[in-house]
Amino acid sequence: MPPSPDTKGKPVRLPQDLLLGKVPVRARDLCDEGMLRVRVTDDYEALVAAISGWSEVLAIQTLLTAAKLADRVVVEWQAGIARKAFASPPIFPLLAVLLVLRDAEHVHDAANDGDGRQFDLASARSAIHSHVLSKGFFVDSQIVLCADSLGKSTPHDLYDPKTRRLRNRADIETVVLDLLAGHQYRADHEYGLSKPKALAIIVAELFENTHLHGRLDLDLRPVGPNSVRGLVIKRMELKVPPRMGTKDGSAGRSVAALELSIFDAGVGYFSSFTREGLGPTTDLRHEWKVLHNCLERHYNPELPDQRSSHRGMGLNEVLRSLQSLGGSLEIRTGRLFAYRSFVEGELQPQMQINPSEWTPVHIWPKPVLLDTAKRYVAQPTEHEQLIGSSVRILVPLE
Amino acid sequence: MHGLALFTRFREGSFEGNVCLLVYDLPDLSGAHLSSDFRDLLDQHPNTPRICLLAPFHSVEAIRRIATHSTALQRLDKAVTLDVATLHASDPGKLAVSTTSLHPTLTTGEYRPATLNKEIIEGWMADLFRLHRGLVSAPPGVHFGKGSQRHADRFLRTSNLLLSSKACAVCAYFALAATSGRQPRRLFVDTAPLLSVALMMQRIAAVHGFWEVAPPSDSFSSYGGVDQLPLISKDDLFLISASTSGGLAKKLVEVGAQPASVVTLYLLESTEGSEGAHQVVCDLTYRPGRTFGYSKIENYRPEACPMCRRASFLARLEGDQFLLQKRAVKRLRIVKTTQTEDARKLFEVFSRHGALGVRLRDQQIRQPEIDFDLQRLLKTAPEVKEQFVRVIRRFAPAPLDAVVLVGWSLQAFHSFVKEAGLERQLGGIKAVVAHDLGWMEPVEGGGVLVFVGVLNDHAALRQINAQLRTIVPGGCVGYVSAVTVAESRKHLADLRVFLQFGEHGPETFIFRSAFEVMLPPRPEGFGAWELEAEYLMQLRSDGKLPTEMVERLAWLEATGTSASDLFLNGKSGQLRLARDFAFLDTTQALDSVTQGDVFALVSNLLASARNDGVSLRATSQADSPAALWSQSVYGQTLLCPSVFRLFNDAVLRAAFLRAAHRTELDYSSDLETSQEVADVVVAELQAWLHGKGDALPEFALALATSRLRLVDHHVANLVEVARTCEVPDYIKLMLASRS
Repeated sequence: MPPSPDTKGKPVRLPQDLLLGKVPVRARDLCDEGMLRVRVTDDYEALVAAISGWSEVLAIQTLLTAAKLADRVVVEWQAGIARKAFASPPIFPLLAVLLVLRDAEHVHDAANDGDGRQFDLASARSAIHSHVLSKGFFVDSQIVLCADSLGKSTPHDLYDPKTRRLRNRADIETVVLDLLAGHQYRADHEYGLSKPKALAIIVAELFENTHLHGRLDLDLRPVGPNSVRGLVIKRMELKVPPRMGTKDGSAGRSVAALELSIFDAGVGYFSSFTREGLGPTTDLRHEWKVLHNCLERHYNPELPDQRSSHRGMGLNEVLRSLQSLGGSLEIRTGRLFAYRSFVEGELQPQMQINPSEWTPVHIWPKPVLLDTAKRYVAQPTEHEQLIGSSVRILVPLE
Repeated sequence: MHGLALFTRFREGSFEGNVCLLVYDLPDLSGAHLSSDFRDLLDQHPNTPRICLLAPFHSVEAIRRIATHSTALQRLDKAVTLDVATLHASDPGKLAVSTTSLHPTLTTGEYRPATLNKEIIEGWMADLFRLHRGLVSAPPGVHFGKGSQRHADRFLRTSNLLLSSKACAVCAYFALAATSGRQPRRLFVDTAPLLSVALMMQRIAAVHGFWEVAPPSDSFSSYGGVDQLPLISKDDLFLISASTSGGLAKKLVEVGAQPASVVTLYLLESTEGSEGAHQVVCDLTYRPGRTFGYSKIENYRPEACPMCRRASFLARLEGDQFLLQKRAVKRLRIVKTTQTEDARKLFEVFSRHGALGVRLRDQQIRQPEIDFDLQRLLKTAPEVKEQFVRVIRRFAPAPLDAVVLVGWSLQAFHSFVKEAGLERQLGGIKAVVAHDLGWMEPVEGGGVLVFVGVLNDHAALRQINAQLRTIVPGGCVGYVSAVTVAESRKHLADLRVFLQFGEHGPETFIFRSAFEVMLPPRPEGFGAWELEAEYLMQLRSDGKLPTEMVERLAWLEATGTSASDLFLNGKSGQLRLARDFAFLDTTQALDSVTQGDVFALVSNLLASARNDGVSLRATSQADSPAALWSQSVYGQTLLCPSVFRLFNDAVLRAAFLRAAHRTELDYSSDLETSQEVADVVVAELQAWLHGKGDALPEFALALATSRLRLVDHHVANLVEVARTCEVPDYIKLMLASRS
């Protein structure tokens, strides 16, 4: 693949250079002398298939942050993967995001073989915008993208094409329910919860948040040239730890799981809530509290909410739903990376007896998140500051 | 919302608030549904201290389990009570609706039932009726001939309500409560749409164990079918959709029905009496002390009908059916008198300071697009400061214990107090920013001044009011604002009543503004500037962005709020207000009038026109019917094309194109108005050659973004005319983009 004539610096190879290894990937390290040089090779699909438990949405968020820091973005494609990605971008979430970066330059090694028509960026972007979610898992991964800075911000699945308004919650729930059609869930009649519906409510609320808080900066301007929001849906393998007390020394097992992730490139939870910028001097514990207050209205009444219409999504309900689904949640925003997991076999701290003394006793999760680095502890670790936010939900399918 | 929310008001001593009925028909109702609905409900209606759940297809135990086994109750603070409606046998031979409290939980852990006030049930049913426009008024020159052989200019159409299983279920639930609960042999309804209610009654009665089998149901076609009814048994149940005279119920009793078995869903009394109706679920008649209802209907005998005498056309109704015709077009006109006197004064004071901007996009809903730079106005417009200071001096409670700041920082407040010479009243008084109100120490019987800059978020002030009622019990609270924005007189009056009402009646507290202005809320969905930016971004993305628009797009992407550069430039550059403008004195500092001033003024004119010219200071009698200028299946409101002819100033045309609702600019289904607007655009195209036609880019953009819609062949004609005129390519591109 010939590099662009005036490119410099070390290329970022996808996906391996965006994986969370022992040393965390830092968005600022991806840029070299103000340039973000991304390379997509023909073995991309094989590499992705070989990774277990990859958070593609976190890779997207890291890439968007690097693109914001860079003065110039160049994407170098090998012809094979370019041909596939340009033809069907929605089934390659990370690559689809690359294609909607407004000012990125795309070069490919088939550029001179007279077959440039199949690498038409405008057509690829139209394909992303007009994509209608494939129902019942016809494909393993897909993305619905709102490319706000390209003027293609209202995909059919999430916005009403006639009025251009965000679809109401019931419609978004219908989209998610259709998506899950045909899948069975663990039975949990005890709580009377409809599992797919509980999941659909969470997704609808999270996406509504990106519409309200993920498009504009604090001065109500578009957030920048790479203002992107999206919903990623993937089928994947989830590693379940061995059951407590098993003596056969098994290393656990893999179960089929569904990933639903929502991301945006906005100002993030902290600034959206406080209407203030997030900087290196901001107290990390304050940022942690604000995150919780964003998610739970009554979590910490000491913090004044600067948003005139409070729309905490209800961490309590989300965690309760996830608990009943045996799933997990990861939130990456600002300098925080938080999670809760109710996957079978995982240690489950921060639980409480059902707060109502007049109802039967249940063990419920406390409405707090845990830190991904420290594990099992509700104290934050400082990570690199990323733009926007991403929420990743994993639910085992049975 | 997953549930259907119906509201009515209740009073307990001096306290008045909403009581909301949440109706669910979900088979898999869960705590997550309840929780999400509680959040939305309390966000949108903060003064709702009572919520009642009704899930007619679930047992009461199931609902109780769903609510208490979830985290939904944690959404509710202690002041909000949550009940669940229960249906049970009461007096011998009667059913009744009670409520069982779920929140706050009694210390004993018991669930104690209490009878539900009939007035509250009627209020909810009336809200359902109002929401679906059950009361149909005859258009001018027409009146109705009803099956009861009476003539009237209004009639009740219950079938308008029966559009969802939730609505049918709520009607059925309360109708069942009006019966004895005994198993009927057959169920008769007066019109076919009511069969849906009958089926719901069967289902609810089975779930709650009142009926063992579902009785057969038939429609008997109202008055016309009474004679064809089979022999009536005492175990037959009758359901009447609506009545104004009670005549149908009387007739049914005459042919053998038991009075206790004839249930009328809605009754609106007529001036000639309505004695015949027996078991009435909802009486819609307005009475003193009620917060809902309609005035009595005037029924006339055909021989004494004054409308017939005036040669008004008689439209005969068969049951409740009538024919739909093409939607009538109502032209929203702007004339000199559209601008109210107070609005004129306000814009004379507020214009020319660069203080009226437009928020090009927003995260909040139902907020106006206009942004007031109050700090600038206080500095540059002496009258604003003078009026505001006078209101503060006049209405601040004395003695004063605290000031609550809304839209002011502590620093800005203290510096204003100093500059305005208010140290004697406000100096040294504890000031609290509204967001910190939650942990303000209670001051029993104290005096608090709520100090607002620009009041455009009524819900926020209602929340502050609710908080202060517990922080300053028995105290004296004054609300003052420099500028209060409201979308109608009624909107402002509702806020006033809400803020001022307390234990001593309607003026327990005081609310005053230095200035009040009528402005419409931002339309839902994308506004004019968001659509413009999206359109230009799409052109850029496709590599078709004309060079003339590159700078414009950069400006749109870099701007959040602006008082200038709002409209596309015309042939002669920036659009400016010309002399001899009817709505502003153009003899003074004309050059200082900004595009933001013009847009705000035009927004006010449109709001005023949509309110039929009723000023914010008018009395309640002046209110026009709520639906007068709204879009409905019967009529379409369009901005009258005469607006574009009369106001030929390009800046005004641009402002109307950006401030009108999209639906008001949708001329695509009316040939006549579309032609009128197309003629205006053609004139602009032809004028371009002669150095005029400055509004042409704005018309072209409105067409390109589909804010303005014309009949297809009119658009095609515009494209053709543009081809023959020497207009720039970017205008041709915009005109052609939707053709």
